[in-house]
Amino acid sequence: MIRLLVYIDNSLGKLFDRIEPATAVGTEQLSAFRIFFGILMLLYFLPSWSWLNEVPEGFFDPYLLSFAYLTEDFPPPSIFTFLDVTVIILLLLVTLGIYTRKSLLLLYVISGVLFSYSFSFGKIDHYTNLFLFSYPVLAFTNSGTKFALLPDRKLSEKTQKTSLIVLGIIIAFGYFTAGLAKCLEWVDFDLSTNGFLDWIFYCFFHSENQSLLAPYLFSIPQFILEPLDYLAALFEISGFFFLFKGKKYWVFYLTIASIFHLTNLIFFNLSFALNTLCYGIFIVSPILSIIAKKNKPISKKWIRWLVGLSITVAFVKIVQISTDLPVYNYHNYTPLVHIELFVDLVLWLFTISCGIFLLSLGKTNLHRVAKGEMMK
Amino acid sequence: MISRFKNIVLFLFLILILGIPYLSRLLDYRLEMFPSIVLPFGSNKAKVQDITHLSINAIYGYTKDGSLKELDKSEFLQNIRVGYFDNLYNKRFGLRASNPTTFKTNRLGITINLQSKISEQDKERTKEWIREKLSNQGCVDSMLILKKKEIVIPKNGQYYESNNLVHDTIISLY
Repeated sequence: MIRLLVYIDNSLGKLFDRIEPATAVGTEQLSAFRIFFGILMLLYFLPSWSWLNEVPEGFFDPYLLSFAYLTEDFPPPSIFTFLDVTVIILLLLVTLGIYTRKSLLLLYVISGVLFSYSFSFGKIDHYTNLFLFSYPVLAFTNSGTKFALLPDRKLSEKTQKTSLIVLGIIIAFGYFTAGLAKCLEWVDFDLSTNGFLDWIFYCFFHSENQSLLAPYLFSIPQFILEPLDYLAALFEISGFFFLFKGKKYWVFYLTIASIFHLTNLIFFNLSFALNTLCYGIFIVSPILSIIAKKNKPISKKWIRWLVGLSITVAFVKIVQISTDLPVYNYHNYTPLVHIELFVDLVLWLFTISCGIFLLSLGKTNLHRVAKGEMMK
Repeated sequence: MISRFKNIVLFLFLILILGIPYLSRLLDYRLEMFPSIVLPFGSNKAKVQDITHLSINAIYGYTKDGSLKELDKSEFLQNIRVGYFDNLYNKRFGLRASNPTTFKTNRLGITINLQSKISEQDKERTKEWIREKLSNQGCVDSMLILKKKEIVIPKNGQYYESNNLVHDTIISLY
């Protein structure tokens, strides 16, 4: 029995080792990314759940297997207000590097619970699914050990590598779940039905996503629709192939994933921009490190300025929440929904540019940059 | 023992966080877990035809001069995305006389019991909320009218709304 377990353990070890080169990121890169992550969350992606105070109880229809189902109704307004403020403080701690690990884990728990209330109207939106897991993944790396006011205790290199391997598997698996269903249904060599067309109808008419280039969807010639079905299904199902092939392939896949999201944003107004914080761990973090190294004095000045701005914004938002003033929150603040589309577009373009830059480096330089070593 | 088989532990952990939620989602969309790593399945298909007729849920109210007015969904729902409208519409905005307490899963047909989360008091507060939204859009607040309108989409993409309004239901708010 033990011999069998040893055999299985070794085989699995080899499998995980094959993923490791694709997902390896250096501690310095992760620490720089942590600051980027925190600033972006505070300035733009800030979640808030106080808006749920205004939703009538009759709308409360949570899924059976979500935290919200455990309660009879939406929690009292004071709970949302308290947790909104807590989340802002925790994000500030992450940005400044104070109790980073504990803050990230707390953020995962609080966000996991509270987003289940945001999705308690009989449907679960998926724009937070990958992003939420970037909290615990970053927590089990050494992202809080550098550029931090109160550095975390260092974890072993092995733990950091494992955490990043898990994130790689999470992304590839997430796409696989979406792609398998499409492969079975959409790849049917039947020109009389189309999956892409169903998305057009659903997004444009049912969800009223009619901004940016959405009206031009109706100009797409019908003969293109069928190949689009196959392309989407093939792309979504192939994540594991790229993950096992190594760094360059993985960066390529994430860049294509970003282009995929950008296209969805432009035509379907489906905003999955929170995923930039997830893919960014692999494709944005090395770029941030390069920028910081090349322009040290300017970068320091900019980081100080941005951190200062984040603290100010955090303070203003805490005051707004505590005084019942309307507070902006990502995705559920109607007055700014259309502006969000443009900011999301910029974020995707930035992520794609980072991916393309990394792909333009040779294989050796790509590995060196990811680990924080100097390029040859 | 556990420290000796770290890779097996990691694999079991992955099964726990990835495999189980996925299997649950495969059983039925209503058994989707949150949070979990399941991305949109969205594998429905539309018929490719020369003219498509699409039925769209819409809500209406009567203005003070007695004419029927279609309500703006986004304004009605406030900060809830319009993407949720159909779900809320199908459940009569929480004002159904009774809510189903069981369902059978799409795969394997397992019976799942549900607990109703909407009390009579909740319904009263929801009616109050809807009345306010009707008034905000210049309508009398005594009833919310649910209809299905038809969108016609010809091959050239020049879609238009047909005059066929299919009556669904009227929700009395007093």
